[in-house]
Amino acid sequence: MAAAAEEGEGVRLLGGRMSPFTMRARMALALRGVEYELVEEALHPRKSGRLLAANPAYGRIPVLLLPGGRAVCESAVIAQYVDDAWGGAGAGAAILPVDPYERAMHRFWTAYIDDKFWPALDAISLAPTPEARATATASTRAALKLLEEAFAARSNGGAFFSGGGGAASPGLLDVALGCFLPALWACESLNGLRLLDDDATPLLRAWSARLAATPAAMAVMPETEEVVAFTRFLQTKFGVAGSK
Amino acid sequence: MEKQENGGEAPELKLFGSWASSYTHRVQLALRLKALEFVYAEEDLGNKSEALLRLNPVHKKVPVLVHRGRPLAESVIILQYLDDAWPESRPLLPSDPFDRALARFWCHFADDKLGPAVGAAELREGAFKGRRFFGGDQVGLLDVVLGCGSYWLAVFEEVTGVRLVDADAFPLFHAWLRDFEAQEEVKETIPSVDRLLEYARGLRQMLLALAAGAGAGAAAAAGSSPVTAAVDAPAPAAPPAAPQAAAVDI
Repeated sequence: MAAAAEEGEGVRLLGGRMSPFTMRARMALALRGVEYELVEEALHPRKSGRLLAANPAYGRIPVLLLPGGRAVCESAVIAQYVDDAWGGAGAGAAILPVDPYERAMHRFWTAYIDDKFWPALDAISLAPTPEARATATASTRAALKLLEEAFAARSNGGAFFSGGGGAASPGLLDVALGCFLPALWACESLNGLRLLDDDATPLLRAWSARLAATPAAMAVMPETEEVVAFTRFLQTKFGVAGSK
Repeated sequence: MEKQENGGEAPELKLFGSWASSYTHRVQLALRLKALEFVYAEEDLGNKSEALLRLNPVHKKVPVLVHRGRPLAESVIILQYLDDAWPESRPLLPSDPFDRALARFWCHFADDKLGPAVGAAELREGAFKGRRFFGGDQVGLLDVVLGCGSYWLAVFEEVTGVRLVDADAFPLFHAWLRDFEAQEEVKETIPSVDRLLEYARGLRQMLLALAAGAGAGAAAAAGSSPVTAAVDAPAPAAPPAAPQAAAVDI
């Protein structure tokens, strides 16, 4: 079922090393053992014609470019595509669970992460005022609390969101949330916060260390100091008062 | 396909919804396309039931589908669940991985950018590629997602007196919508035009009254309608705020 690459034309991913959404796509590719070329897209001062042509609807990274020129956009869609297209005999572990209800739960919480969790986390460091920062922090904590409960329900005693029963491999929800860990750790460092701690989110705290230690994560996660520096750059760019 | 809830054991499939909600219609239509029996519970969105709040604590919205006691929320996620749980009955998603990715992407884009009331006519014009539906010869996932909401077009054109999507300029879109609405399962699902008209008129009255009461600021704050933002048509005289409010789960 794996798409055969043309001679000299392989799978490419348009993305950025600091982008959590790019990380999500890259972790999915790593889990399925797909060889690909990361094409780093500089988004400033302007987006490339290549990116805008590949993703005319949104003009954003990541974009998975297949041999022959077809493109898949949106990191959650890419992760599911990678799961579908590179499944079959000899493939790496499945990204989506087998059980239909678990699949729905992975998709549901992935959407929640993108719609509610990430915007709140992103807003902490880029908040224009201390009040806005406090609000964003509270929203992030509330989201993490729900995700902690989701982990308890989905993991079924196992190491990852992908469940117990011997599953020792991350699934969609693991990479959907895991891709934000570098940004979360950088946010903690920059703002003197504890977002994942043993009181409010003990399960997620333990999970985060396990996920970060997987080969898929180690291949793509930048060092926290790099993300801190990148966040400071964004703060300057957007005229936000730097975190103490 | 719907049956009255009996006093005995819990039904296998129960849908909590709202009669005017496009999101609810998506699930009802999908259940009918797959010939799945279900019990329907109408929710008063101004006074949500304890059951709904318990079943969807995260978003507190309809539709919620309960299957064997386990709740599912978010219409597109429910639709994909139906395919996963009943793979042998009339698949909504295509079988090719890339086509599946395309369907998922456009569903995400439609809900993200266009709102449920109507999709961009250019989207449909461009994507048909000579087929009758997005799903090919048969109604598929993207047809359900975009179609359940497109019927509001005629309603709002009627209520506002503004031609939003010109049939001459977008012939493929109109042909697609006509074919979609001709499906038996769609006819069973979409409320009558009269009911929709009454609902839309009432909503418009309410919004106009609110805008008049609060001054020009409120009308501006109501926001640009996804209909006017997304549709490449002559700009309407007054942005219809009603479509967005009518079609969004509250």
